[in-house]
Formats: sequence, C-alpha cells, structure tokens
Amino acid sequence: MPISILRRVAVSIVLLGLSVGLSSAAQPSAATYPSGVITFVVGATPGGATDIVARVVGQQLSKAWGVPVVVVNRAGAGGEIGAAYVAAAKPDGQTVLVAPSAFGVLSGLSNSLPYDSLRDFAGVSLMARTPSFLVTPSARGIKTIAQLQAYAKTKPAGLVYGSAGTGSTGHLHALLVATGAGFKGEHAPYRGTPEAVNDVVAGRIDYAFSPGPNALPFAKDGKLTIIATTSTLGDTFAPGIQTLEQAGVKGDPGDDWYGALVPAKTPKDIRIKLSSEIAHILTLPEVRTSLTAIGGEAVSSTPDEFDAMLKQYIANVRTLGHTYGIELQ
Amino acid sequence: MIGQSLLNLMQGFGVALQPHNLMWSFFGVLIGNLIGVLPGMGALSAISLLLPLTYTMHPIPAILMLAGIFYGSQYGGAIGAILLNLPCHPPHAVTCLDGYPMTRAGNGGTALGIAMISSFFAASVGIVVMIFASPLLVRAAFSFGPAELFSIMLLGLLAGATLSKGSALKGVAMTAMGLLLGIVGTDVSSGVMRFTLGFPELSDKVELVALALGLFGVAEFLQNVNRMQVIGGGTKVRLRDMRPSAAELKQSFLPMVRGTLVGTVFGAMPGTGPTITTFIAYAIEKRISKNPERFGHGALAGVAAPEASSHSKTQVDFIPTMSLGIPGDPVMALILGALLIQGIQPGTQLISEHADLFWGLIASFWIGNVLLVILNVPLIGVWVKLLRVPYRYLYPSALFFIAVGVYSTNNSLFEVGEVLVFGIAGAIFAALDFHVAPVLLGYVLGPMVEEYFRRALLQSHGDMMVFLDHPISAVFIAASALLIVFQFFFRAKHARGVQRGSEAFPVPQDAERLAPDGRSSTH
Repeated sequence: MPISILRRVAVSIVLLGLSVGLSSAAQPSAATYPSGVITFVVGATPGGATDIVARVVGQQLSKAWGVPVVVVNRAGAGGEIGAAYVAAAKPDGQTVLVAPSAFGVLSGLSNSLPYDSLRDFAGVSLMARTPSFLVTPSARGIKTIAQLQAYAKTKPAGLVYGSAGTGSTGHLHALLVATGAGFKGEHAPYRGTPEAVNDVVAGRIDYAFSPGPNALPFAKDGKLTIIATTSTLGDTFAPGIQTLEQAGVKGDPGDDWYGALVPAKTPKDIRIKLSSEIAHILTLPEVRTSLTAIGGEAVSSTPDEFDAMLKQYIANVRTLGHTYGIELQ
Repeated sequence: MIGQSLLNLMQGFGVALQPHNLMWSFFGVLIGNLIGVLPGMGALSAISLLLPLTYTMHPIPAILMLAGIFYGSQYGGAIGAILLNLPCHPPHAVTCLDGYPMTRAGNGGTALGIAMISSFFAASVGIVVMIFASPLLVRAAFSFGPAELFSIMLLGLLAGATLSKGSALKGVAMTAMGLLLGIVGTDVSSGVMRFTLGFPELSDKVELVALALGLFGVAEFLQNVNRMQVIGGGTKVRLRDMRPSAAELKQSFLPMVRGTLVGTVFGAMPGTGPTITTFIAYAIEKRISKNPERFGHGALAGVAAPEASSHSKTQVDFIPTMSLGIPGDPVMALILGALLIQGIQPGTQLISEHADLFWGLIASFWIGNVLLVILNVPLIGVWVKLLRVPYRYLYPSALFFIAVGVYSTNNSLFEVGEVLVFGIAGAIFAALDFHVAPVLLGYVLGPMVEEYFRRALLQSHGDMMVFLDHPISAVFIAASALLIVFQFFFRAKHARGVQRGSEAFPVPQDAERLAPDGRSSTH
C-alpha cells in the first residue's frame, strides 16, 4: 500500500513539473514568433485607406515570413469593435490591430469605450502618415487662410465647413481653423469625405479638410483651391502650400496616421521583431507606391516611439475635446 | 466627341477581348453569379476574399475580374428572390413581391427568363449611357445637392407607400416601422447614437442584408413550417414554361424600358443605392398599370421593371465612382480600394491617364453581361428543378446559407442574431396580414430624407425656403404635394362610390396562399 501511494505521489510530482515546464515553454517569445497565421484586424469596411495599408503591408509580411497574413474586417462603431476584439485577443503577436488616427481620436473624445487605448494596447509601429488639405471652391479666389478670414467677415452668418463626421480628424482641423482665424464656423457632417469634397466643389459649403486622393484631382482640374495642409508632408503632394502652423493655427493634432498595435501583454521582443520587419517592408517601392496612391507616405517607428506618439496624440485630442466641448459616445 | 468615344471603345474592346483578360473576366462573372445565388454572401465578401489574388496581377485583368464578380452577383441574386422569396442581394427584395407568387403559380421559369432579359437590356443601355453621357453625368452629379436629393427621396417615400397590398393604413404603419429601423445607429448630423440599446454593433445601423433576408426569407420559412408543400410541384415543368412566350416578352417590354430609365436617372445621383431605384420603378409600374391589383400576385411588370432599374443604375453608377471617387455601394468602394492598392487613383484623371483600363473595363461590362446571359439562360431549368427538392431539405439548407451569408457581411455573429429577430418579426407581421416590403423602403429612404433635410437647412443657415428656391427641388416638392392631394381626392371618390353600392375598385381576396393546383390552403 505505502509503495503505491509513494508511486502515485511521484507520478503527480513529475506530471506537475512537466506541466509547469510545458506551460512556460508555451510562453510566446520572439524565437518562436510567428507561430502560424497572423491576423491583421481592420476596424473598417474593406476598401478604405486603413484596409489598404493593412493589405499592402500584410501581403509583404506574408512573403517575408512565409506565414499567411489574413486581413479581417470588423467594422462598426468607428473602429471600436475591431479594437475591442484585438484588446481581448491572445497577447502572442498573432493578432495585430491596424488602426488609423481615428483610433486615437476616439480614445481622446469618448468616455464609454470598452477598452483603454493606452493600457490595453501596446504599440508596434507607425506605418504611414497622410496629410490633409484645406480646400475651398476655386470660384471664390481664396488662396490663403488670411483670405478665408477676410471672406468670412463678409458673411455675417458665418461659414459652413464639411467633414467626414462629428469627431473625425477633418472636423477637428476645420474647427481649429475657424476658431484660430476668429470666424463663426458651422459644422456640416457628411457620411464620408468624398461627399463633403463634392459639396465644396459645388460651392454648397465653404471649406473642408480632405486627404489627398479626394482633393488633388479636383485641384488639378481647377475646381478646388488647396489653401493649407496639416504638415510639411503635404508638400510632396501640393508644393508651396503653407501648413496650418505656419498660418498661425495652434493646437492642431496633425496628419492622419496608420499604425499597428497588439494587445498590451505581448512580449516586447515580439513587438520589436514585428516592428523591424514592418520598417523593412516600408522601404519597398511597391509598398511606397500604394501608400502614395492613398495620399500618404511610409513612416516607420519603434514600438516605444509609437507608444509615445499615441499618448501625445490622445492627450492633444482630449484637450481639444474639453476646450470645444466635443464628446463622442 | 462621340467619334472619340467610339474610337476609345473600339480600343477598349481590343483590350477586353484579349484571351488573358477575357479569361479573368469570365472567372469573375462565374464566381459572381454563383455567389449571387447564395443568400447574404454578396459580392463584398467574394471580392474581399479574392482581393489578395489581384496583388500579383496586372491591374486590368484584376479589375475586370472584380467588376465581373460585382455584376455577376446581381444576376444571381434574382434567382433566389424569385424562386425562394430570398432576396440574396437587397435590391432584389422588390423582385420577390411578384417573382415569388409567379413561382408558386408554376411560372418561376418565366419570371427568371424575364428577369434575365430585363437585366441584360438595362445593362446594355446603362453601358451606352455611360459611354456617351459620362461628362453630362458628372456635371449632373454636382447639381444634385441635399435640397434636391431630399425632395426626390420624399417623393419616393410617398410614392412607395403604394407598394402596400391591402390596407393603406397597414402600409403606412410598415413604412413608419421601416423609418424607425432606419434611425437606429449613429446620427450623421449630430454624432448621437440612437436606439442602439447599448449594442456597439448597432451603432452603425441595422444591417440591410439581415433585414431583407429576415423579413422576406426567414419569415417565409417560419410560416411554412406547418405547410410542407413543394412549390410548383404537381405541375410538370415543361421546357415551354422556362422560356417566356412572345406575348409575355411584349408585355414586359415597356416596363423594362421604363425601369431602365428610372435606373439611369438615379445613376446620376451619387450615393443613392440601387435598392431605391427598384422601389421607385415598381411603384411607377403599379401606378400606371391598367390592372394594378395584379401587382403582388404575379405581374410580369413587377419583375421586369425593378430588375431593369437595378442593373442600369449599377452600370451608370460606375461613372461617379470612377471619376468622383464617390462609391454608390460598399462593393464599389472595395473595387476603388483594389485600384488604390495597385497605385491607380480614381478621379477625373483616371480616364485620361489610364485610358486602356477605363475603356477596357467598359467594354468588359458588356462582354460580361453577354457571358452571364449565356451562362444563365440554360441554367434556368436547373434552378427551377432545384425547387423539386422537398421542403424539409431545401429550407434548412437555405437557412444555413442565410446564416453563413449574413455572418460574412461583418464577420460577426451579431448579424446572425439580427436576421433571426427580423425573421420572427416578419413572420408575426405576415400572420397579422401586414406586408413587409414598405419596411425596407422606409429603412432605406428614411435616414437619407432626414440627413439631406438637415444638411440642406444647415447649408442655408436655417432658411426653409431653400427647398423651393432650388428649381429641381421645387418641382419634386410640388409633385409630392400633388400626390398627397390626389390620394385624398381618390379616396374620397372611392368612398362615395362604395356608398353608392358600386365597387369602384374591386379589392381582391389575398390570392397568395393559393396552392399551385388551385386549392386554397386554409390556415
């Protein structure tokens, strides 16, 4: 009897030791990464700019590492659903959120998110920056923000600006222009930037901010005038246009960006491995061509740099939200 | 100008008929057609699945394939709508209204034939319009501002109330239900979430595919649980039944033309989907028909006109999408995305900088439509024979495909729950003798009417007269007012007629539940 109990205890100890050993071996690390299919989660419907960035980078990543990279679209609630999905995913680097700057705006302006963008996520890398352009109908002959200000003085009811919706980056830029230049601006939200730009061309609204692909063709055709841009990156697409900072508009959050994030507990070495591969991918010419087509430029960063940038971005947006009373549900 | 367009078109045919491009076009069209038959799983899922294929391809065959999937799925969508009351593609919901009763009467093949022919005709006309009127269309797109669009949508909403069979009050109630459902989500103009009941999945809107499939398809299945008959069974399906007769063709010619006109006109307005055009085409046909009471029980015009309008609208819609970058459809948005991945920017430059792509695409539209007709006409018999599968196998399989299809719209089980809820609701409505088509109309038009109304007022700084100041808008407002007045006048006349004992407008018994051999299936 005592011998069999001893045997049982011995077997249990061995099994316990094995299970502990195995579970610690199951800890993800850069050595075993990637261990299978990588999922890029996009919180928007397919075909949009975020989706394109995800697909272009994902395709190259798949080639480089020999594992399938699948893009999954979980649209809804301005990206909240996709982000919540990644926040709850296993922190082994196999699930990556490809997020646009709207992710940061949502965090800065919303009080009821099911996740905390800084605590539940860890940055991997920035991937692209897309400048936005202030456009006005060319028939009005306005060429600078100062002239826009002068035009606004002739309109007692104020000017109407369009955007892709309340809380979109276009809304924030346009609002800052109005308050910075000191005229009354009425916000007309649209379902998407193309509709807003369309109405600017038709002269129904006075100005709007738009990413390059929507605005530049009209500018070339002479139907729109671009009078400002969100950063010096805009120079690549529309040379000689002054930036908002140069025009004296303060507190602007800056260009739109696209970045990759993973769940917070993902080990740092996995993040660094992914980040350096993405940085390499962003130097490839075909990737740069696709990014130019969506009006942006490839920009990479280390995980820490991205974390810092995101924190700063969210803080900026939060300040804007408090100052101007913009709140998202 | 026309000469130049013709020359470009010739070049386009040269590009589209190259064996490599033709092969990919055919592949896309085939996949699209098959996908179209599967409920819920629309071109969107198919294109996003096949998108990675296009990365390594040259842009031209890539876009030809994707476009082929797009309009191929629309041909396939009519099949489910007519044979099973399953609008596999939301614009086909209206086709269910007359197509399904025709199937129950044993004429499913004829309905399919008419649908195919109308689609082909309308697509061809749409392509011609696209080629020769594209600069006109682009300019027209700019002259439709929110005030004009509001007035047009308002007229559509009022006119579409005639879609209801039976009691007008019930029709209005269903439209109002649709309006309420359309409100669910985040309001564009204020950013406030309405009626989302705490579900983030509802903060964008109730999913149209879930609504259409639930109200039409799942509701129908739920009702038929205790009535397991084979549709169209009993009568032998003869080859003659599968082809529309010459008389039937003649009957559906004018509705086809009118439907095409409606679709083309709406094609010029960016951002309005094909679903609206189908409702309007149907409503017009019902209004000007000599026997409006036949609508809802198997009128040919009720199949021909909506199909025609949907297809011509889709074709003409390519123009604002390509040249303005405003996709009329999520699928077009995806195709635009595919172009962007290839580094091609849609816009006014697309036509000049990538002429071979643009004209090759247009030529391939027509070639693709021809391929689809060749594919589908012989298959009509096959699809109709599918109905002979006993209900107890057919319906559960269809439900399975519905669930899968609806899941694929957003990779989320929430939509499957939605389709179930709407299916149950639809079955309850049907049992209470409410017809559900107006729900879809209210759902599609309501949010647009509100959005354009508020935007128009925003742009006019609160001046209500903006709707009458703009000439196009004023015309439609006047038409809406006339419609309301006419309705009152007509009802008053009818009431007086009934008082005098004569039936001015014989109200038929609801003949929908007639079994194919003429016996009425009593509850």
